Amino acid sequence: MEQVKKTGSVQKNHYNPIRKMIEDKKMVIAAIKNGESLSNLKGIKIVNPL
Amino acid sequence: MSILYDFEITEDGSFQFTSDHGHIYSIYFLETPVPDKEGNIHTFLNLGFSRNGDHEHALFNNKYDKKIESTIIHILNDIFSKHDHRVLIYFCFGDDGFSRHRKITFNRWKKGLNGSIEDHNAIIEYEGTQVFSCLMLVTENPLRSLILEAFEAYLQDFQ
Repeated sequence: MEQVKKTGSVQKNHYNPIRKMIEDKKMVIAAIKNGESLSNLKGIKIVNPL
Repeated sequence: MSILYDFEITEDGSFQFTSDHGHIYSIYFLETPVPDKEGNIHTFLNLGFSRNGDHEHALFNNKYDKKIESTIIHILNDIFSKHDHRVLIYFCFGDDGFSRHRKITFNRWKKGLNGSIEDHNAIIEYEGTQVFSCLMLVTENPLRSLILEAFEAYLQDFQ
């Protein structure tokens, strides 16, 4: 089992990653539809999961 | 005959294949850090699909193509077999009125996931629409409880 990063701090209230993921995906959907490069999307990281 | 489509991994890390009907499918993953209450940062992979450069509902109401399902599930199982700490999440939106179709199709697909992978569905009320979400992770993940607890806690913000 691989390890995850640990920061020692807990982020609450200000940042909701579920909301960010929904918004990111909506931005990607719009960008793809408009033929825009995904690399220009600020704050969105597309990765190779392998 | 292969039960999978041959796929390639593009420069940006997305997976691409062409179906027997000539449609180009792309599977992409957006990385998002998700903190839990103990300060661990889990990397969630936000899964997306497009067909011919679009996310229109045609992806989900064409004649069912088993090879598309098999290819996508093969990729997901491969991710979990190589990286058992991974957490995948899939959202489908109802902006075009086809959220239910996507959900049904995705629920059908995920039956092919390896038995070591569990999934958790939730409906999220987001800006006046319902978003279907499905979180997937390996049951043996030692941080499973923290991940699920964090997921549930963040969902509370939408209620």
